[in-house]
Amino acid sequence: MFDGIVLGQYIPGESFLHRLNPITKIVFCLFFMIVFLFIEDIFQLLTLFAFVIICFFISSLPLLHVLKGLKTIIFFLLITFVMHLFFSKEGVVLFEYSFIVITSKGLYNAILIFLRIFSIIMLNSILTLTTMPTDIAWAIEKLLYPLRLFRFPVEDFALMLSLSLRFIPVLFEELNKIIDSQRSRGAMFDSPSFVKKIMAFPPILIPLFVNSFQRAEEIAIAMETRCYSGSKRTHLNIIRPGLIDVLFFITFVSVALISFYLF
Amino acid sequence: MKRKVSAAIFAVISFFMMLIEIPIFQVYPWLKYDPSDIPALITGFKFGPMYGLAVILIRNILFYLYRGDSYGILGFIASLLAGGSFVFISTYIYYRKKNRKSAIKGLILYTLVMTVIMAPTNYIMVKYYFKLENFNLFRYILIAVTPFNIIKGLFNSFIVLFIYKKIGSFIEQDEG
Repeated sequence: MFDGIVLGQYIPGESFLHRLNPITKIVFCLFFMIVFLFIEDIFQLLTLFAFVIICFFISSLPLLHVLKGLKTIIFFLLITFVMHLFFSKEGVVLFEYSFIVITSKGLYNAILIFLRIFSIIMLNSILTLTTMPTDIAWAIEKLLYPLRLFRFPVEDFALMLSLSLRFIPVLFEELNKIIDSQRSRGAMFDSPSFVKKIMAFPPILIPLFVNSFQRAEEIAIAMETRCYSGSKRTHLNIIRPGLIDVLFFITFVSVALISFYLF
Repeated sequence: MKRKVSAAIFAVISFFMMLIEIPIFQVYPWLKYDPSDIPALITGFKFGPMYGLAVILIRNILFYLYRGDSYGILGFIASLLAGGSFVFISTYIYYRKKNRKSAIKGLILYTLVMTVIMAPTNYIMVKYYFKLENFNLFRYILIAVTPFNIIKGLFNSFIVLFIYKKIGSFIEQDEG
């Protein structure tokens, strides 16, 4: 049921994008994604797409790894492409052969959607391939800090996040042990029936939950005896924004402005 | 402190559950059942709705770190809003008044709210992300998304009731 779990697809490297601050990268990614969703003009989209391609070349990542993200969505993407291409009735007819009609509007939309989804996924791949998972977690934590204004307990949340990152391998081993022991008692996990498949969960979940509650209590006691209060946490490696972040930000803003004013 | 540590551990379990994906309808292979709401609901029942919410948030971050490329930040936000809202609502009802009746009431509401919220969310996602105009979106939501969410909600509710009764004796003894 479960094979090994490796968090993230980070590929070590020394490129410009690798050295960029994770906060900059995430903000940039989010902003670009929103922009991609609202752009309707193909020339603006092409400008930004070119920027994504440039980012890819700077990062010096292997192309295959970047395209791997498309694997799960390629089916849906192709259906969308084909539907736009063949079933659109608007615009000038470009090509007609018995029942196949391709109009200019259909072709336009098909390319637009394809480029849009392709760029979003590529951007995401570049982010996760050039940033270590722990760095992304750290950046998310830092980005949540403004929420303190709304009484959101960011410190507690940061503690929970780092605890859970640490516990993934431990719990994974425990889960596999429970699955194996239930299997040795004759439990079936590979039944083709949907209901039986779901009914196989409680025998795994109950021991896992009970063990987890006990473990949580032990850890909590251990932390309290060491006077953990959670008010001020420090980090081993502190990442500070540098000159390259400022540089990157300026480039990125100018590209966005150019693409909006040029077309 | 025990609540925070438990929430962290249950988020990890929830993340593991997210990796189990069982397609329900053969025609729409991307609608997959995963039991990842169960740990969030149990945590919410035990420690209060805020901790249920925290489990959902951490689970999504972990999943994003694990498979960030195709899941995407957009999917992250959608699943956070969706999962967060129903887990919060259902656990709030139970946490305010702890008895069997309110647990069932909360879980029914969870199924209902999930079905109701997911329909427009899916509509907006498909409409703006893929821009399918000719595709009969309304029909797709009615025959695929809605039944999918009802089935998912019912199964999750049954398992939560079943498990919570079984492990209740272990976890009710000590408050703290």
